[in-house]
Amino acid sequence: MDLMAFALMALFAAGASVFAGADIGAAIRTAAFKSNEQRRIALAGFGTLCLSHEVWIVVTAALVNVFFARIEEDLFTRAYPWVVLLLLGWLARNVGLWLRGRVDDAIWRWLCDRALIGGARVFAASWGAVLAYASGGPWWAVAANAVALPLLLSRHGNAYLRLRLASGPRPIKPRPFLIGALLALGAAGAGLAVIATTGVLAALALIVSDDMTRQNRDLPALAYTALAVLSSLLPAVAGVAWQSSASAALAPVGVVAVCMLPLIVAAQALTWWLFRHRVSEPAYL
Amino acid sequence: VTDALLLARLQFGFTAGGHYLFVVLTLGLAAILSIMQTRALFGSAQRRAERMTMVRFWGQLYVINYGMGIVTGLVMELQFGLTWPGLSHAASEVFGIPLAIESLVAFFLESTLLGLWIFGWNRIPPLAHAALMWGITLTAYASVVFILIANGFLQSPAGVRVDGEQIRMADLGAFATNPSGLLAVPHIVFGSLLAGGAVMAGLSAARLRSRRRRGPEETAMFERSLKWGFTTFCIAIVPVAAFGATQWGILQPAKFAAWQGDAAALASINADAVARFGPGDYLPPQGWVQSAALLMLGCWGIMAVSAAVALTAAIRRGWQVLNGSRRLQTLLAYMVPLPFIAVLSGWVFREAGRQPWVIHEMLSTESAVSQAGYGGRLFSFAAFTLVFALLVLANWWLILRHVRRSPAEVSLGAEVMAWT
Repeated sequence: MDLMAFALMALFAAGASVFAGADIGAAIRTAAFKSNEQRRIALAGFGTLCLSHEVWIVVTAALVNVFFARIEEDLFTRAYPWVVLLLLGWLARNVGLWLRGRVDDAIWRWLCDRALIGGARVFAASWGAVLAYASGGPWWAVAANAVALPLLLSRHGNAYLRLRLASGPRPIKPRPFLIGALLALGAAGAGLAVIATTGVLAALALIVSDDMTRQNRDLPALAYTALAVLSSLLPAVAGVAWQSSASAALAPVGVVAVCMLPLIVAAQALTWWLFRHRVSEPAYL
Repeated sequence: VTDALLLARLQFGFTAGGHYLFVVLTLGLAAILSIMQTRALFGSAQRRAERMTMVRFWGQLYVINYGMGIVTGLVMELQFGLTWPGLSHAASEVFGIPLAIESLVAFFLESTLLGLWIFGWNRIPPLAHAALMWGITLTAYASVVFILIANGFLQSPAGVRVDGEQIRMADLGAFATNPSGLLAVPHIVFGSLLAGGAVMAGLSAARLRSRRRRGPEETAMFERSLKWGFTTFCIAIVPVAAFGATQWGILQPAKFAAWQGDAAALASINADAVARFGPGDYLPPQGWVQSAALLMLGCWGIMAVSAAVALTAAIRRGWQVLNGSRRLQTLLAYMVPLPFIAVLSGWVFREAGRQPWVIHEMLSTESAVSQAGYGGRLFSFAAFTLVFALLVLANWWLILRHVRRSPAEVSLGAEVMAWT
């Protein structure tokens, strides 16, 4: 039961970081598009898949809540302000995304852009902070991770937008050493091996991704930024004693989760397949 | 009641109430849109196009509202952990089950299907696209069931046992079929249909009543919408009360006594609770319970009378009377806020009426509330309340703005003609 709970939670956390993380990064990177038309195309690029990506975070939160209630309780009490900020940032990003196209007015768009981009930055920073809290880091590890995640996710989002759009944003400076070092600092709560792996893996992945980007190989470039994003999860995965509070009573949730998994993956795959074409026109957003 | 507890309760009440204002309209409109979009698959090309225009018009209103419902729902998901950690601490392996299954089964699919519906107008064949709307509706109502199982457990726990500080599952079947959860399901369903019908009928009536110039096609669309909305409103008005009434029999004694204002019963309930749980005040706030219930019933009464008046006129003089009579249109337009006031007061009655318990006779709100610092709590209360209030205002501003515009300006599925 413990192993299944952990595996499910880790799987959804990984999906959340890679998929929803790409949407957060892409939202930050919409700042790179200057005209309204270009920005609307960028929103169409990631907004179409945003709903189906976001659910990974929701399910991760639900699984942590049910299987690791003690850990969540402890984490939420210690990281309370950051969890509040995370929610507010998430909320602002979504409001900006969903409402921007509803009113044809420059001031309205400016407001929605601030909510979208600012909200995504706050979301990414507090995501990093909560991860550092989870791995038990001191305040400077929290701060380092809060700086690292927006940088990391905006690289991931940039690679994602380059894959999604017919004319994507320009490559972004990879800054592998800065981000690797910040992530290593952020991992301070975990063991030395984890700290080193996190920093080195993230830095290497960013370097390779940048190389792929320069060769216009957009999918591998995205896969490598995804690897860097996954490495930022390592400290929380390895640094927490994932003692499940799960008893046999929770078996129904495990069974439902395992049964739903193929359906969930199929629904995601269908969504990606339907919207696989590169976007060159604005959509509803 | 300590300050920290009061803040936590207010925060949860405001955010849950704010979230529900979106949810109730989402649920009602989803069901109407499913049927409407299915109807739009049949008939002559012209009829199909007319109906599809109507689906897209109300579909965009639905999507505006849904987007806000999601963002507030995301907050709600983490609210339990943030505000009531004692609840997870004592009951996560019971309370967490329906919530986790709701996320896994219902919300995951609903959100994915909604994404396909919004952005798939010109990519997915019409039949499959209509099926998506049915999928969204079914998963949305499945959410209602899971959430109410969780809520029913808090109201009157069934199928569980207390093991020291822990509440454990004793009988999953009894837990899942808890009548205090399931009996509320049809009440919620018809309440949602009532809200969806009132919004569609009321806003259409307001448009028809308005003296602003509009094209004949626009007029025809609002006349059709008025009929759809008003029919839904009339279908829902009696069952919503009937299924509300079925729950009176299973109310907690204290809630029932508070509603009746029965001082003797309240005193004996409190004395009994003191004997079982130690000294304290175990009674719900009577004023809140009574006024919330009265407000809900009063709103229902006004809606029922209005529905009867308009329906009688429509039966005696034909449906056309709704399109022509400015007085009936005014009446219907004033119905729009009533279902929302009614559902909110219904929830206040349900939730305030079980105080001081978060889990009835097992866990008090006071021992479940977060121990996070007062400053942090105050910040989160202020921030969430302000943001939710802004969202409700923005949502209705956008909805009213949307309704004032012409159906030709709808952006949702603007490329729909590719398939018709």
